[in-house]
Amino acid sequence: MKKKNIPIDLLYIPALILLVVFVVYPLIYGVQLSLTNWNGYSPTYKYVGLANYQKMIHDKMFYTALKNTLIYGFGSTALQTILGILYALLLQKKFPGQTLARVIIYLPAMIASLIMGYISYFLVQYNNGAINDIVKLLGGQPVDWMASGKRAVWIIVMINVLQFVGKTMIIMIAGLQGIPDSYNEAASIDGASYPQRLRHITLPLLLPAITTSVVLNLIGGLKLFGIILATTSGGPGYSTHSLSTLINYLYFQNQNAGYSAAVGMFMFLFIMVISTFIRRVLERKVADLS
Amino acid sequence: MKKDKIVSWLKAITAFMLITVHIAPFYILINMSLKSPGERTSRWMPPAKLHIQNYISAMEMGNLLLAIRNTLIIVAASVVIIVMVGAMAAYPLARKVTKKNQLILGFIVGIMMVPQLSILVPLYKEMVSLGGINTYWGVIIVSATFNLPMAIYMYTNFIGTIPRELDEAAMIDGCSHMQVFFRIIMPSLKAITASVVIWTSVGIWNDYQFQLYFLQKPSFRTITLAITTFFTETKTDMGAAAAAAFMVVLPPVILYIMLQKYFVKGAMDSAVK
Amino acid sequence: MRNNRLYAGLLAAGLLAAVSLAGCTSGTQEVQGGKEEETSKAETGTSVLKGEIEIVTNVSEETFHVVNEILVNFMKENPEVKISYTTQGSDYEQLMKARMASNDLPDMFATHGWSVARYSEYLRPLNDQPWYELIEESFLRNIENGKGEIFVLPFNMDQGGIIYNKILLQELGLEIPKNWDEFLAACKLAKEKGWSGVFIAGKDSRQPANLLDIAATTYLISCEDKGYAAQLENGDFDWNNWAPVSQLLMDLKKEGYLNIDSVTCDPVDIPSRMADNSVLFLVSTSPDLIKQAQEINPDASYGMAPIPALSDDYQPAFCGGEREAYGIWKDTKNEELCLAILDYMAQPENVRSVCEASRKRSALKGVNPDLGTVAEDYEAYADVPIYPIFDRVYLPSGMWSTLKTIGSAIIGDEMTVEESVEIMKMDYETLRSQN
Repeated sequence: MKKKNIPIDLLYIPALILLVVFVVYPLIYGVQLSLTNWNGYSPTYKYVGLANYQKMIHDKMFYTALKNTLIYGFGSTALQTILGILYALLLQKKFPGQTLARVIIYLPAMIASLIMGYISYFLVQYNNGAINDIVKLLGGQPVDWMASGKRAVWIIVMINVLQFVGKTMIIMIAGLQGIPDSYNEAASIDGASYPQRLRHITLPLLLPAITTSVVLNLIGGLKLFGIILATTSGGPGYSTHSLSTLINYLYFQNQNAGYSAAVGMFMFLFIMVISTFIRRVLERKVADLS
Repeated sequence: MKKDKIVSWLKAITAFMLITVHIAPFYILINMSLKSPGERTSRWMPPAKLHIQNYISAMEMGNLLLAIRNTLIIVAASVVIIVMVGAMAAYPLARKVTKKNQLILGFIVGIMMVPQLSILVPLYKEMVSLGGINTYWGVIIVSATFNLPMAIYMYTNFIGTIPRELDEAAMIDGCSHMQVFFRIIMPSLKAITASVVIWTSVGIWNDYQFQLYFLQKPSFRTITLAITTFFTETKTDMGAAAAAAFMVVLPPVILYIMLQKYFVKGAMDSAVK
Repeated sequence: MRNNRLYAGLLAAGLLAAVSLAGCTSGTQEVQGGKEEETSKAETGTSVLKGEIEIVTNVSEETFHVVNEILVNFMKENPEVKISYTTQGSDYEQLMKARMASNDLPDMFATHGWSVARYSEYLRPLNDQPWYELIEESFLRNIENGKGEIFVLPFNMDQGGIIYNKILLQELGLEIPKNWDEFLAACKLAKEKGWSGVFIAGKDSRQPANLLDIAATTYLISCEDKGYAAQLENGDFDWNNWAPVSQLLMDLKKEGYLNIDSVTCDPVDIPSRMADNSVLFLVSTSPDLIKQAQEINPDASYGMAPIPALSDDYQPAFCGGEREAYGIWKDTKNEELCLAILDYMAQPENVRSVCEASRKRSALKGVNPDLGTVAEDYEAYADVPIYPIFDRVYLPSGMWSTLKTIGSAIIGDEMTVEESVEIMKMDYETLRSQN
């Protein structure tokens, strides 16, 4: 007796409903907002058409935030991927301290962004900062690390990497475990050196893991918010703003909700385009290999 | 052999250096939580005497036990929804690869990229009209929905590795889709579910924006909100905030250590398509 | 067997969901005002008040506890009334903006200085209240809009001036500077000794903005014969006259009179840096910092003084404005109850306890709070005029963020004085036309 089979597609309806009601609908409202000059709280506002978008094109602050966002995204992802793979290779086989290392490297990812931000602030602050203490110990002069916008951006990238490299490492370790030992053994019998084996066997077979982690890291890096806010608040001036912190600043500090929504729309499309592109590129490489 | 031993010890030393670097944030956190407000010694130096008062203030002023209870409820309920709805949604997307389903998957993954901030105020307005402010269900639904795309992405990747033959065999025996899902698919998803559970739990445990906006009454106060009570307009009690932050980071850490063995296996299976 | 475990799991999940839902429905939503209020008049003319309302604020600790006590006492005298009083700390402004946007405001809320500039569209005017007469006349203009309407019951007032280090000033052998030239000269001497002349925690852009805002009082307003105040209100102010204010900040930065990490320091560190006894001045509206510094280092002794004058031809002044003040949402369903609460709060003992807890002067007459160490300073300067805080009265709403932008850009070496003048002018005209 064959039971009546409900169409399989029905199974994703609950998810779609939730997503449409609680994400898509507010998003559409955000589009509408971007066409106004609303200040964020007044009951009245005017429609200004595309004025906010025009303003965006000419805004220096916007371009700085855009540039920084790319650095936060790609910089973090590149470092996390390289370090993640290196950590995974290191911690793959058993040796004293392996499990402890795996656990501790992942731990910073558990700390809330707000707190991690303050801890970072205490690392980089000029007066009584932890890093400056070490510099003084080594006989150097303390530096106001975050005073230079360009330097501050990269320091933020490094803090972000420190916090989340554990996540990448975990994915890479899992990926490595999926590579049968026999491949490597056969290759070394044939005379291949470690670097050669790495390049021709390990990395290609690791590509699916790399894809997943790159996509997730990229999205996370492009959306970076909490650490920036806590270490520099976007300063000095506006030199370390990312698109996320800029949106927050415009909305809550600058009372410019309409413009903030316009930047928000841009950010959403921007991230979507970039990550879809990267995903397609990587997935095609994976398909090529299999 | 000797070479292996040397390599092993080199690895141990490198690992030790990495551990030192990565544990620095925690060390500073614990240090701060045990220092009295007046103490202005270096962040690296342990406190002259242990200022346990910070922990007491954290418990009392932050009402930490209540906050932990609230956060546990929210995290537990959200995770259940994420796992159930997410896995269920991933099943057809992984099995029935049509153009429509490809688009839907792309759409869902696209939602991962919406910044929380961009939709915060419209979402708040929507929740007000639905009556969801200052309720558990309001913040649970929103937290769950926001983590769905990532869960669906990971589940879809992983279900692809379960052989179709199992499904087909079960359906020949007369099972409906739902039965195949619950009897065949879900049990094989234990490992990946562990990953989803730990990643979303930590995310919601530490979430700030949604909890701030949707839970304004003190009886609903969650952990992140409890910590912010130490950052006021006029004064900041860093010691108590650090104490609270430390106590609060322990449950996720314990969960992680417990789930670790499933976790590594699970991430692998999702990544290897 | 597998099935049973699975179904058990589902059941548990369902139970958990049910428990959470049950938990939420039992909590009352006090957002929209709740039950109807009834008042019945007894023969002697007193009414019985009933109802549930929500009051929110952003203050914490002492001030919060004191106001909470007042409300608890009110509830004791009116057992049918239930008040939920909460504080949201530093997230208050964000939350209030979201609530205004959704037209979902608490019955009463604190306006922390913004009753006219931001919240007035949502507040019920209160000129008709019995305690209106009690408000200090000189203070009234701080809380009035253009039409003379007030929207809050003010408890205390912010008073801004310079905070100075008594010990360091004595060591330099100087008197408290009476004009900006003396001020800068003092900073120069401080720098030679290795101290910071003026401390700014510039990571928060409100800090440099505060300096500009407070300095503007004596550069532009207290020099009444120049007539700038009227020009600003009429719209024919020549913005080149703003340049000296920006220049002050620029000079402080260029000459190195600010702390080295003025751009990156977080306000969290202010009390401990003050306690180090290496800071000569702060330009601020928070005399509370004096007490905080002393808690860390009892030997740190600071005082509050008026803002230095433009030159010898003028007198120093304070700037002041609304601080802890409560208004009533114009769409509340419990208007009578809220008015009664405000009336109760306006009683002298209650106002006094708030002033003493916050160590700020009273905005109402006939209240004589004991303000501790700052009291001597307030006494010594009892005759110094207090002008309204510059941006709240003389600039269109929204220009506080302009001050923040140019303030942090100037100390970050990213803007010239001329550019800052341009931006002030541009925003002034744009925002004026919007409002």
